[in-house]
Amino acid sequence: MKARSREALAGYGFILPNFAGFMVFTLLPVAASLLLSFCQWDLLSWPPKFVGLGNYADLARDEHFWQYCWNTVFMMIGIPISMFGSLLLAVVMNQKLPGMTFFKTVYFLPSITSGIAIYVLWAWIYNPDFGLMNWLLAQFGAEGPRWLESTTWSKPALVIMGIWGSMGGIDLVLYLAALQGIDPQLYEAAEMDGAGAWQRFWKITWPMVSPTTFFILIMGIIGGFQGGFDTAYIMTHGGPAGSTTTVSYYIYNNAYEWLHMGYAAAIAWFLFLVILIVTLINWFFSQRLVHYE
Amino acid sequence: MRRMAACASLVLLLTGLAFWSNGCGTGLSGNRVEITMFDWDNIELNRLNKEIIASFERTHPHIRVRFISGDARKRLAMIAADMAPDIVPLEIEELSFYISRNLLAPLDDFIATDADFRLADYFQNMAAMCRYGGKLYGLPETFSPVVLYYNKDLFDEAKVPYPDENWGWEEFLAAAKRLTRDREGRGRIDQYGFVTSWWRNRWPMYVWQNGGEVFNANYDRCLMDQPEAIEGIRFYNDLAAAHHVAPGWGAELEGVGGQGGSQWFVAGRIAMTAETRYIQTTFQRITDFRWDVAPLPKGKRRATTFVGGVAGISARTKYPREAWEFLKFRTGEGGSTVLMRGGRGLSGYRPAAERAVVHPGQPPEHDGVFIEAVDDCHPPPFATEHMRTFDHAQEELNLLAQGYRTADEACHNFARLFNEHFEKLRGEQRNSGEQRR
Repeated sequence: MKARSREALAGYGFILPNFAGFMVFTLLPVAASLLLSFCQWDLLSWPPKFVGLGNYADLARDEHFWQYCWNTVFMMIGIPISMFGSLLLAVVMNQKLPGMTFFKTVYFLPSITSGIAIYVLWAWIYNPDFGLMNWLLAQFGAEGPRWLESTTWSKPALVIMGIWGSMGGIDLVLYLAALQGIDPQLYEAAEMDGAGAWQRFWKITWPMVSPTTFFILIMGIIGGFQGGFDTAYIMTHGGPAGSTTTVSYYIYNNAYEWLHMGYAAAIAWFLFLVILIVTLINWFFSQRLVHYE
Repeated sequence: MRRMAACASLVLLLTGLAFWSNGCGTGLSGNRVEITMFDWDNIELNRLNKEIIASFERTHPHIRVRFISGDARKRLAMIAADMAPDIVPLEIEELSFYISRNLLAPLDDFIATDADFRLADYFQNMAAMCRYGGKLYGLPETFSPVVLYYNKDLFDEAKVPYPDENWGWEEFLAAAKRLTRDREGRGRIDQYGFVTSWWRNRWPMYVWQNGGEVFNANYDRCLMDQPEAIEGIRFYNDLAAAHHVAPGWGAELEGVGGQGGSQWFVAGRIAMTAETRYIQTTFQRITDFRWDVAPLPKGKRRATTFVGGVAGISARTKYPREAWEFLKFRTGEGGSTVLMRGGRGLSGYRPAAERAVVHPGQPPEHDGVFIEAVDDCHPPPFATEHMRTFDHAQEELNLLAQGYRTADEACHNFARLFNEHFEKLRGEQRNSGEQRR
């Protein structure tokens, strides 16, 4: 055997475990889920019953599904707020001031803390009778709502928690990296031409970090559509009255609580299509709004 | 090349080891066989199960029982992967689902040929719920009816006589009103007469007590839109919404693990609560006041429900006879005595349950109320096959409790969701019938 082909063989050998893992645990289940979305299957009967587009037709008629879609979209209002917060923090952190490393660590903490610990903590914060949030509001003479127990306030409560968690996380690091990649000469030149702080931010910083903004936005939207499972599972069980059930939690419930595997697969594929379309739209607009150097 | 071949064999060996399944019902050397038993993962329960297995193996040296603990998802994965444990624990609402998929073995033949076994020793009402199509598919394991717990000190303080079997809804409401107070004089109620829970294992009791039904006997029509059901739900909801003798929505979330306001009861802020016997492990720690149990107040008729499970034998077991021997032991005298010592609910085996409720000097004094309540138990009105619709319909009642629906609207919506679901199922059955023709 030639040395070259031996090397190629060894190369394939090295990627084989990973490739086999991808085939068995990712590609195959994804393909199976597409087939399942055209079937009725309760996991314990065999074979699954083919129902054609029946699951998709049910989905269109399922009033709860549309309510949960709305919940999912509602919870995404946190994305732009959190992005704005990240950028603001990054601009502050980018100043050469003492103690910045300490603050970077503090802001990054929520990203490396176990989700369960955070959710339990926030469930306490939102406790209507003894929680920190209502205590804080009471200091200003306001009577706080019943947060996670109220259909009106449960979603905003989760949005606030989400902003707290993601503002100082990976997005902040990405923005910091982007800010540090901007050529200081641009600012110097602008300053010499008499540009103020706001003009420097709006005409230099904002366009220069726009690829990062675009990346964070796309990832945020994808994450948003897929999100809400862990908070629903741990904090609210999707309630009260389904007000915090998101599409992903509905997929989980259909698959593992109610054993409607086919229906769950249909929702998952619908979600995939929605994410694909929204990402393509984003992509289309990004051509005009994102500035690549 | 040789080194690569050696690496490849190692990978194959490791993969083989990883996939080597320790299948169920393994034949052991000699005449000894191994069966597997599954139960919910819980430190206390694991200890009791191991004790039961050890004592079974002493009297049945030819059978080895391998204990597997886990949650419902693990059990589901095992069954789906054709590795079903020989002894399967099930919640009562799961039974029909598992039976219709041929996953459970009928027990009638074992019973008919086993002279040592007496089905009459089990609570008949519970055993009857394990019967489908004339065949018995499981034996009641541990369960508990829901009864009324009350704080004797608060009753004495308010000079209200203790609840007894003659209590109806009127007496209950009157007592609850007198037990609801502003103790600390801060202008808000800090002691309630009762606590409501909209958990699916609580509210149906008030529908039944009022003479209504959640579903018809065939389980193909929802009757929540009938006047008796609506009135029952309205009475229950009004306890908090109109009479203010129970805290409003939210108290449930502050309770412990879906157990309603049990922690409020422990704190002495609730005079009465409807609970199962399982909660006694928590209530035993109460030292600040005296408490006891009584039957739930009856409406037009006496009715309660229960929480609990049954155990069956997998239809795929290789050793049905041995599995039966163990099932009989575990649910019978040997296993029940141990399980009841663990302070869990009532054992389905009547003699052990009757012994356990007698404990002079230790509350509750009238623990026997649980035994009497068994005959009034209705099976939970939900089943795995219809759980999605039930959970959706349940949201209507949660909205009622929060004031977004009237009892009338909530009950009608509940019924509508279910009747549409039943109609869809009938359509599917008709279609598959036509396809077969």
